[in-house]
Amino acid sequence: MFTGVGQRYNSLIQLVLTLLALLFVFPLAVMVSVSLRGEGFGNYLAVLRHPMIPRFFLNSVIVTACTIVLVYCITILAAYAFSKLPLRGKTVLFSALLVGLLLPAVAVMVPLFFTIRSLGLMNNYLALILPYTAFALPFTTLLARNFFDGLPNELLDAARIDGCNSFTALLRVVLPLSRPISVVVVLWTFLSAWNEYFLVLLFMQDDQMKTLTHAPQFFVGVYSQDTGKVFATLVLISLPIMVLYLLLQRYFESGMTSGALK
Amino acid sequence: MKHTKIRRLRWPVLLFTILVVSSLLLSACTGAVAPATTGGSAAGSAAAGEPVKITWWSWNGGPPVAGAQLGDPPQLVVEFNKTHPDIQLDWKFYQYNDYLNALKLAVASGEGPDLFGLQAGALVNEYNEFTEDLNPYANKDLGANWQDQYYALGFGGVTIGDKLPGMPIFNSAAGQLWYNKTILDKYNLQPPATLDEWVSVCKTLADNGETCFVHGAKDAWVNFDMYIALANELAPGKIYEAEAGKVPWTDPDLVKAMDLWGEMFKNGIMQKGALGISQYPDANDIWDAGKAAMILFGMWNDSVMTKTALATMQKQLGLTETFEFLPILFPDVNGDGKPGQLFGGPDVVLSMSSTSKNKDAAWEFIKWAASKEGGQKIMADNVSIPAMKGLTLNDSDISTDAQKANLKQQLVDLENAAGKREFVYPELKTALGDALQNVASGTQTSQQALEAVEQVSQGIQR
Amino acid sequence: MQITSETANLVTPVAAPARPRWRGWTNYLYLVPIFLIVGGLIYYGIVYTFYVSVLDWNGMSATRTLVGLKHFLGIARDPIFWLTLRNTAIFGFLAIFIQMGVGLLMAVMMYAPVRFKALYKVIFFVPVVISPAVTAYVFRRIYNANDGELNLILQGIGLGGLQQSWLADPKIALFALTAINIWQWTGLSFLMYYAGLTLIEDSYYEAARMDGANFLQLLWHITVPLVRPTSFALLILGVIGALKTFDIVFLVTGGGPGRSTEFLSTYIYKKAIQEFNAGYASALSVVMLFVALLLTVIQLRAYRDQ
Repeated sequence: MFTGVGQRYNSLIQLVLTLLALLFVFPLAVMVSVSLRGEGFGNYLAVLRHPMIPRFFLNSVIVTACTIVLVYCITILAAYAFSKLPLRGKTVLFSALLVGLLLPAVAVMVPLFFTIRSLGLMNNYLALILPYTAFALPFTTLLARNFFDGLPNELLDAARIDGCNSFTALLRVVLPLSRPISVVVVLWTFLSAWNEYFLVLLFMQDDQMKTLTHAPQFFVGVYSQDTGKVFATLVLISLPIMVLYLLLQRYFESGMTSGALK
Repeated sequence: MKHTKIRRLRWPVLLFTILVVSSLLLSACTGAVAPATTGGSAAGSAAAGEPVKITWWSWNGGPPVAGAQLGDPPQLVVEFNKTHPDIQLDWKFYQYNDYLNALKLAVASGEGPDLFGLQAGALVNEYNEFTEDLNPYANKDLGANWQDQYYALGFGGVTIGDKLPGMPIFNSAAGQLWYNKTILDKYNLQPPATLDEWVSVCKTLADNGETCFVHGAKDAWVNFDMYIALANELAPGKIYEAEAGKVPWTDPDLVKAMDLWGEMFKNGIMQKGALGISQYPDANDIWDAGKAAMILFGMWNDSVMTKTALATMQKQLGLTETFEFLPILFPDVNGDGKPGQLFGGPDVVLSMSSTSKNKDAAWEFIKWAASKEGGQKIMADNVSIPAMKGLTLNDSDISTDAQKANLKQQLVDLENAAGKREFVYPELKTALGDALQNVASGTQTSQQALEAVEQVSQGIQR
Repeated sequence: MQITSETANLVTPVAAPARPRWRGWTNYLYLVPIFLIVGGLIYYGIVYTFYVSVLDWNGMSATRTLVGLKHFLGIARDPIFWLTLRNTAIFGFLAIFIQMGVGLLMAVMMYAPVRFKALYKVIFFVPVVISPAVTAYVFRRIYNANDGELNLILQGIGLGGLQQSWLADPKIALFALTAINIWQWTGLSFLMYYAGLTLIEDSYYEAARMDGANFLQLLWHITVPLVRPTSFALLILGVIGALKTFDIVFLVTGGGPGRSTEFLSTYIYKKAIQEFNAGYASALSVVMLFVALLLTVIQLRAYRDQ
């Protein structure tokens, strides 16, 4: 969009971006300053040295990774069908799926609790993985479907002529082109699973099974809390997803369809 | 060719792929489930030689072990387990909001803890049917008139008819105005004894750039404390009658109390933006750091007078000086020359689950926690107010003599408490909470606000 | 190069294929996993909510009484309920459109040859991953009327007159919350638009610029239409997200002062958990479900019709 645009434009854009960045970074700076309160970096050391942290980290990783894999596979299948395959009642089904987005957490708390309990999944990773998947799917499917809508049907027609069935076409034609949306789906699912607090509270009563989001509890007392350490914990919790985000950044950078069309 | 063969096989391939992928996923994920760890609630009586396991959930387990990390079990648990090798008490801490959610589900599904903490008033009412009546146990083990050994206010909002759903272990009373003596001394000020003095002290402090009084008006409970204090000063006990429906909330005395409350937001007592912060942690942090001269708290705050607490605060907040904190009774509002009375009740009562499979073991803990040599001694040693009468508080860690004397006086004042602190009806609490905030922000007049409360009050089935 | 039929397909996303391909019931197999999981966990929850909404129940007790539509009638007459709708609507409208607008601009600007791109990308995205507990505490501090950073900065740059009690003033608190939400979620819009923009070829812009279009025209006539699928997804998520926004409201203002920032989600929570009124709370959830459904259907129709 900006090829051949003058230097004047560039400086203006740089300025705007810098101002926006300052605006966005400011609360983060406050957050870091609070996390250094009291003992400074000692807060971070104290958190990292806490015996339960590695276990919580492991639990978070397992739950989040499994959720991502499950969500990704199911999303691609469903979004592909909704976008590219002829289905009767497609709009109705899709709307029914979006209804899954609409339910407030408090409303689903009780029935979910009884479902998980009767399945015997208390203190089991699946007690978290399955609900996280269910909550993430409507949105990721919506995203993926819209993205697939943007892929020209000619590609699939070409694949069909080449003798592919719907599944092979998915694997050979659609998937390679869907890196940008795959990144979004992975990041979004990571986000919703990694930072989740409430279901862990309900289903993981065993301390060994809790996830990182419950780590700050160890620095909270009845009448006081070591706010510095609580914040240090929360800052540390947000680091993995930042790393993931940075790693996946480059999957955005490729002119995807240009090669296929020409 | 290869492609035509695939076309014929398409749906089996698809089905197969789905099945393989899902089973791989599930086995990978469930296979990573942790090895068996110690379970939650107990299951039946123990085999010979093995301790009976019971669980206790609460947001407040009493004094912590000295030097322990914040998340560790409190003294009550540690000491009990030491002295009762045949029982193992597992403690679980929840923050209050989380606790409400977790306890509700656990109890409703019949799988809750053996012991759980409840707040007097609404919480006890709602959970009543899930609690075991402790009177039969107490009458048997503690003697017929055992309640006489305990502060009467410890049972306020707890007993329901003849049933005792929970045992008071430690009490707390509110209505104390805490002040930072170090700051007041700097300006040669005395803590206010009347409402007018309060306003003038605040003015002096404001003129010198200090924050006079900090209050987390976002939290309904601390607004209740202030309002009850004001109402009890103007017309002792009337607010409780209004709660019981015997007196309308639009009674002139209650309206006047509301007026005084609203004025606090205009006459310089309340800090700017009070409605936007919480009492814990926001207001408390400001107070602990010496950035405000006064705060409304209760006897649960006594531990800030200990050297240990001050040292911890200094470390956590990075302070350069320590302060001398002291409470006084609520300033005289009605002009009768006497300061306000404390009001309070059991801080957290200890309840036994009616579906517990280890009731005897659970009762052992309750009995011990309420006993003079057991839990009550721990309370006294840690500057917590015991539920039992006649114990002396350990003041060896208290910083100054003035504070030591103050502590002794607090116990005397406790006997003269005006009434309880917790309301019974949740809808009333919500309505009153809204009313107090609306008057504070100027959205409603006192009359309008209390009329709304009265309307809710009349709809309650008593 | 002119806009051909191929690229026309991109501009008007097609829902149904131009020619039928791969017919057959096996296509439904693709949908089995998703409806299995979503159905088992979420639809059950919806049915259960409907059931509880006609009960007088505290959420735990064994005693439940059937009261029919009593709660729904109560809701219709409940001034707080209508207030929550109004609050949610104002909040949602402002938050969604500002986020989408700023997010799109950010994404577009990232395609320019500017420096520090990686740094900007991180900064814009970090707020998205910060937990609500942190965000709430930080902003309660920043918004503090006495010594909060916002008021201090305003004073420092000579705009002391603009200082407010950001969270304590019932007239402003809602907008203060909206600002927090915008800060937190714009990064997501940015991310998604950034992904969507990869599908737009430079050739479109080149062609239009050769025709003499300036930046704003490029933006409005080429970029915006071509990212419509993303905008649509963000709109749906935004509307539903606004209805379900809970953490920030609960932790920053608690719905107050008074009820000036009460949202439907916080109202439901308070009724269920603090007032032990599971029936009324479920009835509110049912209403919320219908409102959300209505809005979603409207949006889906609008999307299809174009």
